Order: sequence, then C-alpha cells, then structure tokens
Amino acid sequence: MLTKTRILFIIGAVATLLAALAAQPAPELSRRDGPIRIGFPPWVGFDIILYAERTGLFERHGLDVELIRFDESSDVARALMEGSVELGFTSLGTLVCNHDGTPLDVVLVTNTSSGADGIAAARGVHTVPDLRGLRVGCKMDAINRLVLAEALEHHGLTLDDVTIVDLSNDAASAQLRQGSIDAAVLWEPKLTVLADDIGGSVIHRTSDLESLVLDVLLARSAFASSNSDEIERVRAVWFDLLDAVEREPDAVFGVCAESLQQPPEGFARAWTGIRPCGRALNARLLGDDFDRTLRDIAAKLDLPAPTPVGAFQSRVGDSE
Amino acid sequence: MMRSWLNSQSRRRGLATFAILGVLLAVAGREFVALQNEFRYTESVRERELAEADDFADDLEFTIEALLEADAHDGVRRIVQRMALLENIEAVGLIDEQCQVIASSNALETGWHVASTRFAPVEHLISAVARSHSKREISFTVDEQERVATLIPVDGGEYGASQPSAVAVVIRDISWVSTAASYRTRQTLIWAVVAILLTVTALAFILQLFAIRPIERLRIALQRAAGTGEPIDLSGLRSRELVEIGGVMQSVLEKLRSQTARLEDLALVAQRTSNAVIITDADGRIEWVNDAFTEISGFSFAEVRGRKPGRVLQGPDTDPKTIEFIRSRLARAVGFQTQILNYTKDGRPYWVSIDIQPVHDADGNLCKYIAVQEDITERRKTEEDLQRVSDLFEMTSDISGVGGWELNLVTAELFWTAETRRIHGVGPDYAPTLDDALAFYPASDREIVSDAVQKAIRTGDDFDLETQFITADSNRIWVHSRGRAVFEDGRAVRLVGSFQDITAKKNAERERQLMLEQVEHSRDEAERTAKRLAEKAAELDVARAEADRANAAKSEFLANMSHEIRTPMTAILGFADLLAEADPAQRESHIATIRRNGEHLLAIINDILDISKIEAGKMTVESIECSPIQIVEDVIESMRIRALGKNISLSSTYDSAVPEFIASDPIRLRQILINLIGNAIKFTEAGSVTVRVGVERDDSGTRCLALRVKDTGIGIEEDAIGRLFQPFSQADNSMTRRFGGTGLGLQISQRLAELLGGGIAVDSKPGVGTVFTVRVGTGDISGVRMLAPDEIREAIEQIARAGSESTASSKQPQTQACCPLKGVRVLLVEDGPDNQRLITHHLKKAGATVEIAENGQIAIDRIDDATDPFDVVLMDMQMPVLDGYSATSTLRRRGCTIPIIALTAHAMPGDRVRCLDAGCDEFLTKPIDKEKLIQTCRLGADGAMPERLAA
Repeated sequence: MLTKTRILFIIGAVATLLAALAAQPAPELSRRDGPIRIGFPPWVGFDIILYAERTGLFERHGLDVELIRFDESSDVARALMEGSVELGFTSLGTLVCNHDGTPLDVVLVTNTSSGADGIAAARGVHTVPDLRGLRVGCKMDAINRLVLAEALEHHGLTLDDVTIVDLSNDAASAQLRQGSIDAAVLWEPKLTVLADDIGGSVIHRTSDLESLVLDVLLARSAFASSNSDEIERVRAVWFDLLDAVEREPDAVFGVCAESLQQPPEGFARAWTGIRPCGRALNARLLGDDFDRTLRDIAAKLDLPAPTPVGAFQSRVGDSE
Repeated sequence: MMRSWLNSQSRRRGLATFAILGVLLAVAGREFVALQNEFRYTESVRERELAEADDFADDLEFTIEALLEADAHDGVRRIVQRMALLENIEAVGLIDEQCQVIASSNALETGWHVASTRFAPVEHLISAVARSHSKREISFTVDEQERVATLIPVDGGEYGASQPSAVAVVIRDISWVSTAASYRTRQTLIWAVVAILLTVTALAFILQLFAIRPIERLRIALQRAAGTGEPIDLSGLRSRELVEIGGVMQSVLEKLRSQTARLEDLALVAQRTSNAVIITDADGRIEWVNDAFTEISGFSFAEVRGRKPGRVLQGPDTDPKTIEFIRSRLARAVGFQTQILNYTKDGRPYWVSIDIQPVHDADGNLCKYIAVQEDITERRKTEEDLQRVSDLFEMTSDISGVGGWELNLVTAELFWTAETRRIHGVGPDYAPTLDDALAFYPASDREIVSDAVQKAIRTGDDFDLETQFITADSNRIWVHSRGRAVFEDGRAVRLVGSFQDITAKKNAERERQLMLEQVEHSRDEAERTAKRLAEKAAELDVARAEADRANAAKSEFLANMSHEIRTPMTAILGFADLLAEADPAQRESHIATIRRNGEHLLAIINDILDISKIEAGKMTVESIECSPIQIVEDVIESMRIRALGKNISLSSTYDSAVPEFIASDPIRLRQILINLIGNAIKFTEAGSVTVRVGVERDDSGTRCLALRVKDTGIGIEEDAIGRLFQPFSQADNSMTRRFGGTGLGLQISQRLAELLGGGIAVDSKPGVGTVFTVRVGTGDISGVRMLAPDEIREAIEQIARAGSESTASSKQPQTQACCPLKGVRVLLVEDGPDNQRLITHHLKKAGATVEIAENGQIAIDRIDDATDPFDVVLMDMQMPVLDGYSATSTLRRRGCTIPIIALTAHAMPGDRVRCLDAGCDEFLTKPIDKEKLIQTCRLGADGAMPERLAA
C-alpha cells in the first residue's frame, strides 16, 4: 500500500536520479573525440615512427594514433603546449627555447645525437673558427641554436662571434646554396647532401664533442596522468620499433623513406649519426635529473632558467 | 470550534492542491521560456562559428598570398601548419588545380593527391573554386560529426602565374555546436522536471509538517489529556502558536493537580513522621497533635487538646532560661529552634529538639503555631559519651606525647588531634589537607610516606614509619607515624593512625651511633698503623739483609782485591829486591817475573775501573761497522797460545749466513770474547774450547749475533750459576783462590753484552762442561751481505793471511832494526821524573834524540826556539803550569804541524776523544807499552798517523 511517506520517497528518488543525470559533466565541446595525435618534425630519429603507422604497430598495441608531421620542431613544441597534439617528438634544446610553462612530461628519450646534427659550410670555410665574423643560418628557437652554441664554445667562440641569420632549415639550405650565407646549422640527411652539392664541407658534427642534443617524446602532464595506459603502449610501440630497426633495418628504413618520398640509403646513412635510446638507457635517463640537463642547455644558450619538466614513470619497467 | 475546523479533511486537501498547482504552473512556464532561449542561443552560436570560419579563411587567403608574393614557400607550409593548431580547426591545406596537396597542416599529406587526404570531401569543388575564383563553403560529416569546409582561391607567387592557381581549404569541426545544443536542451528539460518534482514534494511536505499534522496531534493530545488526566503530550508539535495553546492548558491542569497532591502529602507527612507535631492556635493552645506526639510523650490528643504544651510537658529540671527564651519568642510571633527537657505522662524526662514556626493568614494576622519536636535523648547521651571519650583521648595524648589522625578516604577530609597539631606546630584553626600533611615531610621522604599509605589502603597492612619532619616553625624533627586502613564492604574508607615526636630518641640513637663509629674508626686506624709498622719493619729487615749481604760481598771483594793486588805487588817488590842482588844469569828471569806480575796487576786495575764505570752508569759503547768474523778470529788467534799451553784445542765454527758486517762496538765485543774464552781455557784441563758463531732471533723477534763459547771443563753447579753475574760476588770464592782472577770479568762481560743490546746466558753441567752464549745486537743488517760457508772460509783465510803478514812485518823491525827511531828528534813533555827517565830510556835505546819539557808552557817555548825542529812531541796531558790539552791547542792555533802523541793515565774512550779534539794525532795510555810507544813515534816521524781530528 502506498503511504504518504512512500510516495514522498519515490518522488525524491526520481528527482535525485534525474539530478544525477543532469549533473553529468558537460562534454568537452572544443575537443573532438578521436585518435591520439602525435606531432613530429622532419628528423630521421623521429621519422621511423612512420614504420609503426604503416605496419600497423599502433593497432597491434590497441592504439588509435594520428601522426602529424610539422616542418619545424619548434612548431611541434608549440602544438603540444597549445593542445593541438597530445604527444610531440622534439628535442630538449627546442623545448628550452619555446617552453611557455605548460606542465610537460618526458615520455621517452628517443635518441642522442652522435653526428647527425652539424654545420654545413660553403667552399673556403674549413673549420669552426673560420666562422668568426661570417653569416650563419640557424633556426634560433630550435635545436639548431644548441648545436651552433656547442660548436662555437668547443672552439672558444660565442654566438656573438658570428652573424646569425635566423632561418628555418629549408630557408637556410636555400640561402647557403645561393651564397647569401656562409654556413647553415642542419641535420641529416640534408646536412651532408647540401655540403656535397655546394662543394663545401661539414665543419662540425655533434659527434665532435659531448653534445647535449637529446631528443625526446613529450606529453602534456595532464594528458599523461589521465592516459597512462596509452602512454605505456606508445612506449611499447617505440621499443618494438627499435627492435625492428635492429632486426631488419633495411625494411624499416625502406618503409619510412617511401613514406617520405626519400631515397632509403640517405635515410640509413642519417640513422648512423644518432644513438637510439632503448629501454635500459631510458630507465637511466628518465631517472636522472632532467631539470639539471635543462638548466645546462639554457646556460649554453644564454637563456634564463627553464621551467622544470617531469619524467613519466613507467609501471612496466624498462629492463631489457 | 477550532478543533472542528481542523478536522475538516476536505479543506486541508483543497488548500494543498491549490498551492501545488500554483507552483507547478510557475515552474513549467519558467522552464518553457528557458528552453526557447536555448534554441535561440544554439542557433546563434552556429552562425557565429560559421562566420568565424569565413573570417579565418579570409585571413588565411591573405596570409598565404602575401607569403607567396614574397616567394616564401617555407613560410606557407609553416603557416598552414600553425593555423591548424587553432581551436576547432581540423585541417588546413593548400591544393593546386590538379588536386595535388601543396601544403598541409600534416606535412605527411604534402605531395599527395587530395583524394588520399583529409581534404577528399572537397575534391569535387577544387576545380570549380579555382576556375570561378570565388569562395565556397560546404558542410559534410565525418563519422557522423559535422564539418564545414571553406575553399578560397589563392593567387600570388608562382601559383599566380596562370589563372587560376591554388585553393586554400580550411576544414572546421563544428560538431560541438550541435552536441552542445542537444546537451544543453537535455539538461534544461531534466532540470525542469527535477524542479517541478522537488517543488511539489517540498510543498506537500511543508503543509503536512507544519499545518496538518500538528493540528491533528494537538487535537488527539487534548482528547487524551481530558480523558485520562495525564499531561498533554506536546512533544510532536512544532508550531509555536499550537505549542503555546497546549502549554496554557497544561499549566492550568498541572497547577490544580499539584495543589491537591501537596495538601494530601503534607497531611500524610505530619501524621506519619516520627517527630511529634503540635498545632496550636494564636494563643498557643493545642489544636492538633500527631501520633508521634502521643508515642513520645504518652499524652493522647484528647488529653492535651486546648492546653498549652508547656504546661503539659515541662517538669522540674526543665531549664527556666529555655522556658523564658520560648516565651519571649512566642510573644514576638517569630519562629525559633531550641532544645528542652520535657517529661512524659509518667514523669520520665526526655530531651527534644523543638522547631516552632508562627503561621499567618492571608491578611498577615497570626493564626496559629506549628511545633515539631524531635526526641534527642539518645543522641545527647551519645554526644556526652563521645565528648568524654574525646576528652580522655586528648588528655592521654597530651600525657604520652602521641597524637592521632584520621583521613577520610571518601571525602579526603583529614582530622588531627590536639597533640598532632602541636607536633606539627599549627594552631587549632588550621584545617589540614592531605597535600598539606605530606608537605611537612622532607621531599626525600614524601614518596616513602605516600607509598606506605597507598600500600595500607591496598593491602590492609599497617604501616609504621620513622621519618624526618619539618614543623610549621621550620624545626627539623623526627616523627614516628603509624597507620591502619579501615575497610567497609571490602573497600578502604578511612585511615587512622598515631603520630609521635621521637626527635629526642633519634638524637640519642645518633649520638650512640657516632660514638660507635668513632670507636670503630679508632680501632681500624690502630690496626692500619700496626700493619704499616709491621710492613715497614719487614722492609727494613729486607733492606738490612740486603745491605748486610752487599757489605759482606764488598768486604769479601775488597779482601779479594787486596789479595789480588798484593799478590803481584809482593812478587814485583820481592823480585825487584832480588834483582839488585841477582847475578846477570838470573836477572832476565826476575825481570820477566816482575813484568808478568805488573801486567797482571794492570789487568786487575782495568777490571776494577771497568766495573766502577759500569756501576756508576757511565760506561758507553760505540756502534760502528765491524766484521764479526774478524773479531772472533782475531780473539781466537790471540788466545791460541794460551790454549796450546794447556794442550787444549781452540777453534771456531760458523752457522751458515753470518753477516759480513754488523753495527757494534768491536773493542767491547772483543773484550767479552777474550774474557769468556780465557775463562774456558782457564777452567778446562783437557779437551777443547769451541766458539760457535751464528745469527738468531731473540725473544722479541729481533735478529742478533750469537757467540757460544763451549768448553769441556769442570762445569758449574746449578745453584752457583745464579751468582755468576752478581757484582762483588763469585760462583765460588774458592775458585778465585784456586784459579786466580778477580771474578769481575763475567760481570763486566754481562753488562757490556747488555749495553750491546743483548746478554749472556749460561748452560753448564758439572764435570761435563759449560756453554756461555753471548748475544749482541747487530743493528740494521737488512742490506748487509750474508756470507755463505764458502765465503766465511775465504774470509777466515784472508784474516789469517793478513795476521801472518802483520806478524811478519811487526817482527821485522825487532829482528832487523835495532834502532827504529834513529835520527828522530822527540820532545818529551812530562812532569814526572820517573816517567821522564823511563820514556827517555826507551826512546834513546831505540835511537831517538830526546829533549824534555816539564810542562806545556816550556814545551811551547822549546818548539818556538828550536833551531832543529822536532819530529814528534810526546805530550803528557796532566801537568802543572800549562796542561797538555791547552798546550796542544795553543800549538795547533799557532800553526804547529808536528805530530803530537798524547800520553795519559786516563784510559777511557772519552779521554781519547778529548785528546784528539785538543789537536793530538795519537793517544797512548800509561803504563807505557814500550813497543807501542816506539811504533807510534815511528809512525809520527814518518807522517803516517792514522787520524787527526783537530788541526
């Protein structure tokens, strides 16, 4: 029998249920649901991610990923901080030049540069000290700046000893061909190709010194904390990728070169100029004090102390 | 009337329905308006989004054209990528007329045909837009999500070389607009329903709670209270007005009931109380008495009615003052209490406590008195008994000096008797507490007292304490406190005890204890003194015995010395006398005897000097590099003649690995060996004496040189071995007499061995032989070559060869040169005439020319004045006027280079150094060894002095 109390209880319950429905969080209207967007600039150390996309590695790890390639690594950093991509490949040097304070986590250390970055110089310029007073094309908000700063410092010079023309890689290449600048800070495969084309030489490579050029995969901290499972899978994809390079490098480089419409041998040659970071090296580097590395980079670039960056702590472990 | 209105159920329902419907209409209307606004808002957002897309496309066109005009194709690609980062922009691309992607927000799409990129949905419009040169907009869906693409023709740079050139495509995601709209509409509807439901519920609840239900409850409560006489139940009412109404009704009802009940109770109390109750009129005549009055006094109500109580109850011993007091109070119509002695009907006196109170009517007039009497006869008797006991207790306490105390454990009240207060030094007004009482004890004793009290309470055991105590007058006394816990129902309820000042007793005990301690102390002191005296006496006995023994030893030693000195002296003097009378044939024999005894006397004197230096602690040894093999072989060689004289073989054996050199004093080591080998030969009648050389480690692990001198002689008794090395003591004094010698040699050797870092050990069997083992330190021989047996043999042979050559050369002058000092001019500086004569005799006999100077000054003058310079100066060091040291120094300062040979009776190593320091070239000791004197003079004359330290 329905007493007054029971009727009131039923009404109250229905109202509560409806209120609970109404109190559901509003959908994120400006953010469409969809794949994880990963941005990356043209760089052999990052381009191999195309192999994962072309061969279905992402799908095998249960990931829906969209790769977005940018012409400039600084654009990747900006896109990541603005939320246009969820993950971004870039270098710590580029990050230091562009970081706006957005909390970021390092998901992976992909590689360290071991000769793939360097300075191509026109005919007649044979050494780094020869650059004193000459015009050098260099993207100043990107890793190019760190490469140039390290080279000059290694030979007792500073950025003030050369005339820097702030140019993107493509623009710098073009101007060096035209002779309007004397040298350009580039990376492989463009570095060697350009030097050969103009009859000049590569007067500096990162392998000439102990370089701070460190390439990483970054994520916004908020995304990393709420999507740690996806991050773990992306890391797994990356390590599978390195295993594939180890196992069948020609196949991997062939797929990537084809995607980029490049000759595969240039891709393979460029790969020799980097030192990939596997699970063990990642475990060690991610355990290190990233802030100290960032501070060292900022000091080399004569920039103020950078915003600290976190390190994604894998639950899986990185033992090989 | 009100109850009937409230009982109308139809009215209540009408009221509720009306209210609910009104609110429902208001809420529904409001939500309808809100829904309309949502639709309008959604539409406006969509339009704004499309307008933004259009503006964005225009901006993009402008930017791309500007960059193309500047031929900045890289810039075009970057701006395309940058634009796609803007919110809700899904893709941006630049597509040429052939539908090839020139630039894309995803660089991976660059260079590909539009059909395989995200721009595929607009493929069909590319050509049309390029040709028409006009902007187009198209909507389409991707995965059911709405997109809007804007296509803009782009001119400029190389793309503008032929019309048309390229198309910029911006794809914008506007699905969120419809998603947001549907979400907001759904939310609005849900909230409307929720609001209506909640409003209706709330209204119904409020009406039920605040109006309908309270009125119904009040009605039921009134009905129940009216029927049963119980209080009106207002507990469920929350309406203030209804509660007030109920409260008024309740107060009226309760007042009535309480008055009735009180009257009944009072009547019952008055009737049934054990106290007598008397009610009189204003004149004091009895109007009513209760049963207790009759029971106490024996008078019935009828017997006393209308009579005054005093007339009935007071008797011969009733206190007249009390009667007068009562009358005066009654006359003034005021209440009072007093005690009075009454009499029962049968004449028995009894005490009552009486309380009389006047009663006035509403106008204030006295209308009656009410008297209540309590029989206190027993109580007064008890009080008197208690007072007597208390008086008795105080008196006995005062006499015995023992106080009493009681602690109520329930109320914590503490009671002290007068004696206890007196001991505490407080007055009768002092109200003690437990903490106060404990504070009278020194801090060190409080815990003891507190523990004793706690234990008594816990276990029921009495406590008995003697503690120190500080009175209120700050006097430190001793008290004896006893206590016992009193239990009721198994629980301690109070503590009682006694308290006594025992300071006098304690003082007496302490004085007695002090006296006992003093006596004990005196006795201990006496015993210690006696013990010390006994120990001292024992020490004195030992010292005296030691002194006696030393004296005896020295006396015996002196006797021996006397004998030893006198014996050769006797021979010397005797044969000197014989010499004067002897014929030339006997003279040589006598001279040899005199010389042998003289040498023996000299050896005795050297031993005495050595032992004296050792005893005085002034004996020093050198540490220079020397060959142990050389030392051993030299000594054996020098002793061999003595051994052969007794037909005893004397030889050496070497353990393998003997160091080529050690750091030691070769002279002293030689002295030790000579002594030991000499003794061995002396005490061996037949057989052999062997010296065994080796290196071993001593007790501390340090390497040392070990020299074992083994003989096949008479041996030594075991009990005599211990006395061998004692100064002024010999193994057997008869030995001295039998074998001669001072007996000092072993002592000197032992002390010398100790100074050389080792010692001497003895192992002997009487009749078999004795082994003396000398151990001396070697110094650091880590870098010294250890000689193998072959090398040792070779070294011995070399030594032997050198010795034979030396012997041959030393013999040569004696046999070949009768005048070894021929042509040598010698200045002899000597103050003693006998020595002048003796030395001059030796020198002249050797061929030298001798001049004599009596002191140093004369010597200097002679040398200065000499036309023919001297070849050698023999300088006595102790002379009058100017001694040899000063004379030598002066000569050297003046540039004199003549060899100066010191002559002195001081034969210590330090004396030699002193002479050399003064400038002497060589050092000879007295008595004069003739051969050595001549040899040294010869060397001086030849300029072949081995050393000169000062020049």
